[in-house]
Amino acid sequence: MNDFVIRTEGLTKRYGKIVAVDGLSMEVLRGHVYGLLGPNGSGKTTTMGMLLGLVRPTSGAFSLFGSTGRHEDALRRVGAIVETPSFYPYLSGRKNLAYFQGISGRGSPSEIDALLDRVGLLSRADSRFQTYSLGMKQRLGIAYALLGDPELLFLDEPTNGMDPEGMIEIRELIRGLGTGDRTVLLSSHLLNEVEQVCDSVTILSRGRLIAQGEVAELIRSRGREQIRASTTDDARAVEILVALDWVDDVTPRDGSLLVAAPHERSWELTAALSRDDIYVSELAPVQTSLEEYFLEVTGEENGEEAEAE
Amino acid sequence: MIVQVLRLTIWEWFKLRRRWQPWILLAVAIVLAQIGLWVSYTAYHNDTLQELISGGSGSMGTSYEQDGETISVSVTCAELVNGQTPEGIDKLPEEQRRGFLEDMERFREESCGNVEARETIREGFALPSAIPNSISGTFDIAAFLALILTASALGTEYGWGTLRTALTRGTGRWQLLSSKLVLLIVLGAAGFLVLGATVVLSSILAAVIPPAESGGLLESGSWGDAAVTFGKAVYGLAPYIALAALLTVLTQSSAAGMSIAMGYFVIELIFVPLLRNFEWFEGISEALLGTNVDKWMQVSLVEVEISSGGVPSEQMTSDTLQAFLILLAYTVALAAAAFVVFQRRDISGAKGG
Repeated sequence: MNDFVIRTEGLTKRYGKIVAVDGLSMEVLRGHVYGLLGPNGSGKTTTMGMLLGLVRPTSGAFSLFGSTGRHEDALRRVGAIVETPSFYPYLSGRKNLAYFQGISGRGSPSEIDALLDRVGLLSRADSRFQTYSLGMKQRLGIAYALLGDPELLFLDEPTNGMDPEGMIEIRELIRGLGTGDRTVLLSSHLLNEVEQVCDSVTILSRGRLIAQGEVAELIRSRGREQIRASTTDDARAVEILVALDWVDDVTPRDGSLLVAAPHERSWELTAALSRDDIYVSELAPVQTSLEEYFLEVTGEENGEEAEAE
Repeated sequence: MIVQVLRLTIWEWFKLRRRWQPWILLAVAIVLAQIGLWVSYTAYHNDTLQELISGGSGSMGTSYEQDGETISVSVTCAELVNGQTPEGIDKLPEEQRRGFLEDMERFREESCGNVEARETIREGFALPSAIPNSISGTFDIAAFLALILTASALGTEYGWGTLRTALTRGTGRWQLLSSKLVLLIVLGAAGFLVLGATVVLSSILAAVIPPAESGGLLESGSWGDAAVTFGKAVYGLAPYIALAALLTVLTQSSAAGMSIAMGYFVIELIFVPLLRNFEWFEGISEALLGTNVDKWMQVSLVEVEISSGGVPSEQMTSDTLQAFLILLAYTVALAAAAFVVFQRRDISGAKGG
């Protein structure tokens, strides 16, 4: 059985000379929380727009739920918020949801209050949308996306504008949504958010796919072990450590040193420094994060691009 | 598909009725129709106003000295067109009376051509003629308001970014645009019905309040003419709605769509009558939207009956048919272009205007 809910093949979007998405081929498995990452202007929203039928691809093809035919039928199984959630400013949150449920004809009116409660907006359900804060608008957007219990969710920056408490709540909610048969495609600038919530990611840069796979797998593939060290004389410590053949790199960062070396050789590091009367006040192993991985791969991509030019 | 469009139309109404704009526009149309009706009512009871609103140039008179007594006779255009005999004319000697009657006839021909007879003015407030009169009288402003409402109903969706929210629900682009256009036509028809209902109420009021010599309530025009004028007005709105829809989906902005549509309307209203004086413009003028809407709205059942004793004249039917077909062509072409543009163009997020 074909278990891909999204499949794109050479998907391209050009705006004149600008290539927003360049031959993107990706596959999203059912039942996953999938992250779509990339710097500003990398083509994340354009990709979502094409998949949602808002933007016409210049070339390439895509399928939703294995169907390349009538797009509206597939969209009835989808819930989405793209960029800032947009609703009628003069209608209340509840009436906005009633309208969007009515036009799609899926779900029941009774689920509206349940959804408003789920996103913590029930007490303001009858206030006009124009009176909502950005965080409340995001919450309404998530309730809107969940109308009719969709099989596939597109969430573009869902925690944008939320307070820290709200962000944690929504992350928990998203993690819960990606269980069972439902698939979530999450686009976010907050890489730690993606790392916490997503099973797999696709990384875009300048409209091109530069990495794709399970989060843990990607980090492992690139990850090198690092040790964070604070010393009594960082400047001299750098000179000593770079001379060691088992140390790949030493970078001063945030008042300490980031040493690219195996964790099990930490004791040798302290020994080497103490021989020159430099003492270590803090020493901790550092795990490569998705953020570091992301900066590394997008940095490489940009470097290659500059060389080519 | 049709069921889906109807469902979308009902939900369009759900949100449009919660906006102030359609109600304000309806109120404007009703107020203008009421002004027209009550001006007719007042003019019917006031010769000066009757002349003033219909462009007559006042009165003429003569005086004659007989046995130390001065006999003055005067007559106004309103009295002349209403067939009233000037007071005191029987006191004039035969020769003077004949001379005055000749002068009076000349004055009527030269200066009272535009003055409407009291009976014609009565059609403006007595039933059922007041209904077609009000609909025809407010048609231009109704078309103007329809341009505003159409551009706003479509354009705000771009400005607020809600078009994107609606389309990601799988509603389908042409279905969504169809539902909006259907609703706007239905609202146009409903607007004329409400306008007609307020005219009926005012006509009843005009028949019962003093002065009571307004005549019977149901003694002017025909209900058939009211129904035909209603149908023609709704049909005449369709190309304007299609025009505003096309301009709005082209510009993806309610302000731009509204401005261009209103600009076209005003330019046609002001410049076409001026340019018609040039021979080269005649052919162009015949094909313009406003010219054909005017032709379409002008011919009524009453006029057909008056002009040819119940049988429509050849000229009238061919003009009406031509206007009907040209308006149909405008509506189909503009709506089709709006659908093609709406179907093909990318939908971006909120633009805030």
